Amino acid sequence: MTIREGKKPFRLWIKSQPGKRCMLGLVLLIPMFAALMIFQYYPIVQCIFQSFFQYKITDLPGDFVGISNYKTVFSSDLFYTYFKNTVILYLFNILFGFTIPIFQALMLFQLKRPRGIFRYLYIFPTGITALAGLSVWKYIWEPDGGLANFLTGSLGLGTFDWLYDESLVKFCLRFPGILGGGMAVVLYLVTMNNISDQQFEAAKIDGANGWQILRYITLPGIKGMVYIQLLLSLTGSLLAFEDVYMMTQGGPGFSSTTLVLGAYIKAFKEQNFGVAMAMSVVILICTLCITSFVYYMQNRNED
Amino acid sequence: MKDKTLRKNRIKPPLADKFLIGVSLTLTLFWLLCLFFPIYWMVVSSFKDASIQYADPPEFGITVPDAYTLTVDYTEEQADELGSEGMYRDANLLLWRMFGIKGTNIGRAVVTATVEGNPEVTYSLDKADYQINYSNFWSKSVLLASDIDRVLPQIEEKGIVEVDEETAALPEKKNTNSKTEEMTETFSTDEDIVGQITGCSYCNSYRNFFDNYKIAWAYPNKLGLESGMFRPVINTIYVAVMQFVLITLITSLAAYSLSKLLPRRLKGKIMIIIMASGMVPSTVTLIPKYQVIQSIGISNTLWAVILPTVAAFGQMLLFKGTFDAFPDSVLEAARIDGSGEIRLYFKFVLPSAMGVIGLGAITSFTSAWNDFFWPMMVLRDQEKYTVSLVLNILLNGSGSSPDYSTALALGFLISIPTLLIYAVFQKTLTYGFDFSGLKG
Repeated sequence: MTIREGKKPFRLWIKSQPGKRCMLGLVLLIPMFAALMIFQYYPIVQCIFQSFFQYKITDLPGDFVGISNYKTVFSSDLFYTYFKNTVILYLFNILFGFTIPIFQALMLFQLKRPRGIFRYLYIFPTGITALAGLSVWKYIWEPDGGLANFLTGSLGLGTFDWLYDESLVKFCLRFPGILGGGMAVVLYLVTMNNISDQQFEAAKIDGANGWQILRYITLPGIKGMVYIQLLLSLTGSLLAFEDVYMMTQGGPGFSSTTLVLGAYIKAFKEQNFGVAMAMSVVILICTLCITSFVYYMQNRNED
Repeated sequence: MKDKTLRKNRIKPPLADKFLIGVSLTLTLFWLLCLFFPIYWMVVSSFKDASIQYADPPEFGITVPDAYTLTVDYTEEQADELGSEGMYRDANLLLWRMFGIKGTNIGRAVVTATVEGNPEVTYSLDKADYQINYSNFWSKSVLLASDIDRVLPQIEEKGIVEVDEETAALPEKKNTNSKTEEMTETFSTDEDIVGQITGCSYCNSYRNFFDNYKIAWAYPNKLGLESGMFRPVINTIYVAVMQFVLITLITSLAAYSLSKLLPRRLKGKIMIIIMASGMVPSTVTLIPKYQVIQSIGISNTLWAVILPTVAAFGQMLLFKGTFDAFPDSVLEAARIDGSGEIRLYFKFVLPSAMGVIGLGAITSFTSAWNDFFWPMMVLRDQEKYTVSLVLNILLNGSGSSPDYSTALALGFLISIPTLLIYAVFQKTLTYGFDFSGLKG
């Protein structure tokens, strides 16, 4: 057991402190990895795998059909309807939901002292359970005796079918976004707070007024964040389905069915898992493209 | 002194600035009012009776339900012949049918039986008891004379019709409206009733103010759950707690390992694997995930709701950020003192991330409280429903246009915990933002 001079003592690598730590570290990662594998990666693999098969409940995974599921997806008119719906919902989302928090944060940023309480009040209504919030809007849009029809009626615009009208349903689904608020406001506020004070000081010394500061310092300061949020909301919109399902269940007809909801209907209403998986893969590729683009932009912004 | 000179020499803000601040303040206040309007409308509508929820123009204030009192007169002979049982039967026919008159904001039906003008007995029935029970007693919306003898014992057993013989009195004031006239008319010509309807009046009934909430709480009884909303609430809390414990343990251990234990070379590779999972949104893999749940045999259990969420990628990043900021020298010192890695972790590292843990608790709770789609896919037994699932069934389950006053009452009821969390722990909630110092 004596240690000879000039030579490192022979030890199993596991006995060295860093080695031990490394082993422990790997052990501690096991639960996280197991969960990731079972509920993230394996489903993706399954998704891609099954998209090449004709689903049969008795004989999984069924018959190999090559890319015929994909052909079905791209040749069906409904897929393009879903795609169009998703895009229109996204545009309405940008129109109503996306720009509002930016304005709200900008205005909040102008107010120095009561900013905290306003920020507090902006977040507070988000505490309403998502479904409950949606049900209020469903009640407001109700064609007989709903609040929306009362308002349009008393303004002399006549009454509408709102959620039951194919041309209005997407507008109705995204209109509540006009209220803004929520975490997005905080996000932009934090970004504005991160703009260095020196810039504001310098502008003030140069005699810029509030409008000019807003126009030339604050807005350019949050440009990057706005850009990223815009792209992220694209993914969010692409994947939107829960609120749509709850409000309209994709109807009337298929006029508010989004891509994800379409895949869900294909799988569970029509029992056509193969085509549903193919649709999911298409959605997956779209989202991957968008997210990698976002990551790319983010990295470019940070440099 | 210094303050004063400073104040004196301060450059006065230009007019444009004042204008800007004024505009900002006004618009912010306006927007906040709009933002709170849905909540206001939810609360107001949840107090409305089902029959006035579609009224045009809508009622904008909080409504107090009315108690409608019918007076039924019997002659001496009739009273002797009927006895108390016969009068009870008569009163029940009236009480349960009074709720069928549409367009009334009725919260309570009262029948005062008089014998030759002298008040004898008062029978009363609350709206909550009516709404919760009537569908158990008979299938039609109106109580038929052919059903009454069958259901009377059940009604009596439940004790929902109050019988008051001591303080029976005629209503002091006679408030009438078109609905009381309609009631008098309808029941005067009703041949099932022995007594003579002598009048009808109404007054506010504050004890029925929260009846819609009682009805909402008891709604799961209609789905076959005996305990009302109690069971779904317990289920949801169970899901939230298990999610929180598992997510905190799994992600913080992984973050600790990535931040402090692994050598630099490995770190990067493992981070890529984990980061990549963050790029794939879980909604895309909804269908195969459902198959996984089925094949590992936890479908239709609460674990099917809990387990898919445990690999919380964002939570792990937050933990890793905090642990990265934790000084290595402290760990080294503790290691030299002979402390084991696991003890180090629980003693020093984990407590340094209390903010992230708090955020995790809130996120788990609100997500368990809000999610309905995934639970809807994997849970089939009523015993296992979560709160949002019950609300979804109430709104979309019946196919016809839903009863919004109950739905909104239920919605507000289940929003109270999350609203409280958002009100009290908002600092923790925005912790993630302040902490990560989002660059943009």
